[in-house]
Amino acid sequence: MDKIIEVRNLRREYIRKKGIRNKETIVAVDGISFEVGRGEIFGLLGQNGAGKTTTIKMLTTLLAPTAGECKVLGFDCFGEEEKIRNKINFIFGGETGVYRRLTARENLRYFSNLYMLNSSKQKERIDEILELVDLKNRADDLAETFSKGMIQRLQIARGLINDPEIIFMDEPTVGLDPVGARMLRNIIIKLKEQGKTVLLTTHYLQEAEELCDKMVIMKDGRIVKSGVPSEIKGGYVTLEDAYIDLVGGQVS
Amino acid sequence: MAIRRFFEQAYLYHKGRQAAFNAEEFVLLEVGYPLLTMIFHCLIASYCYGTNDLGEWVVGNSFLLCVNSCIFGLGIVFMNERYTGRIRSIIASPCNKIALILANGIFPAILAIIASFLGLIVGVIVFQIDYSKVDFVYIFISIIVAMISASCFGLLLGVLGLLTDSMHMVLNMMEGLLLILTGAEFPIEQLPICVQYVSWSIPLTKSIKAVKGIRVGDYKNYWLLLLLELLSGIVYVVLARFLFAVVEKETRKKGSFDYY
Ligand SMILES: Nc1ncnc2c1ncn2[C@@H]1O[C@H](COP(=O)(O)OP(=O)(O)OP(=O)(O)O)[C@@H](O)[C@H]1O
Ligand SMILES: [Mg+2]
Repeated sequence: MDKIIEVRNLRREYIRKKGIRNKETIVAVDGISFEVGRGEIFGLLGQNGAGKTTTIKMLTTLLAPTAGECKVLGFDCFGEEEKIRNKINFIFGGETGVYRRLTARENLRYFSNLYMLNSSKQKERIDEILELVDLKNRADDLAETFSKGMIQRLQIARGLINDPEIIFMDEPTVGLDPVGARMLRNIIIKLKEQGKTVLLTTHYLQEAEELCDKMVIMKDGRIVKSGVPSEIKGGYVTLEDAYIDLVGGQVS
Repeated sequence: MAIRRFFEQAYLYHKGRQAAFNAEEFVLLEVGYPLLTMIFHCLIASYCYGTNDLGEWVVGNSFLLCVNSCIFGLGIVFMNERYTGRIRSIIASPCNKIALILANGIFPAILAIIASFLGLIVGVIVFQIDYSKVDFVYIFISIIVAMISASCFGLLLGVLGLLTDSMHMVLNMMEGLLLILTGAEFPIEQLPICVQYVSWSIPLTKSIKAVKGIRVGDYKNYWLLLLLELLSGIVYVVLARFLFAVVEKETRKKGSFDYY
């Protein structure tokens, strides 16, 4: 299987200012390595602040690595980003990132223009996606009138607009109701059937276990365990027990 | 195809960040407030110079009305994209960045043209300026050129907003500079020579000079001045594009793109 994401000894530091003169270096990602094959669903798990979002930002060409290798589709994420950007997209959790003063449909027109979709395909694609994320009957309402979960659905739609080969999802189920979360899981499974690759982070371990072909668990910027879900589970009954043991909490 | 997309983006940018809730608020924001500012400056001029012929100041100050939408409006565009988390979609997409920058400027430029023209008309009526000898077509052309140039300048400033959170301070300073240096309030010949160079490199100075010229029947330098104004607009956009590329790289290294 060809490796379409290759990460080797990847490191990212942030410089944080403390007062006027003092600076502090924070190592957010501390030399991680993993590979993702085409068509896989890959999970990135770990505690708050473990470095998951930082890793995704580097893979989506938004952030430069401090050191190490970070390749998507064989191209360097910093330096050859032009060759990658067309073929990937991302979904971030949270309520920011869309135009609140535009309708759902207008938002999607805006984002599809950023990806230079041609106009004949555009309309079809937008209708299709609105249907997919179940926003069709609210398509012409302003996003500012949406609930949190509805905005999250719009974010999901945004991330699919250019029919990407690889989709990066950072806590995509945040704010979704159970039906919405199921909808997203079905979308992810459908994407896999279409041969797409998905890299996702989530704090819902059951979701991760259900979806992921492979996963890594991060702690303080490092990978503490990687493999298929059953390997990660090891001797524990649930993934949650294994996870808590790995990140150093107490299993009661 | 690309043109349709360009104008659709321009419209969506405009609609997406329109701050006013309704038509009345919009008119007050875009026209009412600037007009009052203009009248204020003209009254000061008439007091200082002890003159009743305010033609000079009405022209200059009506051009300065663009500060509202071109400097304050456009200057914070990219900083706002950062604050709202939308910048990552822009950065990570394969869109043409120069088209992106220009599309942001289209509607503010149109608003600035309308505001300036209205300002001029109101000024002429309020202060009873004699414009009977001046061809308004020339004035209109110079307003269009001036507003294009000012919008391009605003976009150049706006790109700085990818880097810094202090755009409000930068823009307030810019407004001050424009008031002092464009020749709207007093002749730039009164400024020190080195400052005059700055005057010529910022927008509006050339077109204000062109219009002041034709008011006294001097059409000689009109087209040259407007050409220079237009050229500086193009230079601002080219600089904005380069700055965008540099700043993009820099912020990806610093990790200061957005807050999430
Ligand atoms: N822009 C930034 N400037 C400084 N430090 C940052 C920045 N972004 C992240 N960090 C730090 O880097 C570390 C990793 O953060 P990151 O957002 O990658 O964690 P995460 O695994 O996504 O956590 P969560 O589950 O809470 O989303 C944290 O210690 C965080 O404080
Ligand atoms: Mg995160």
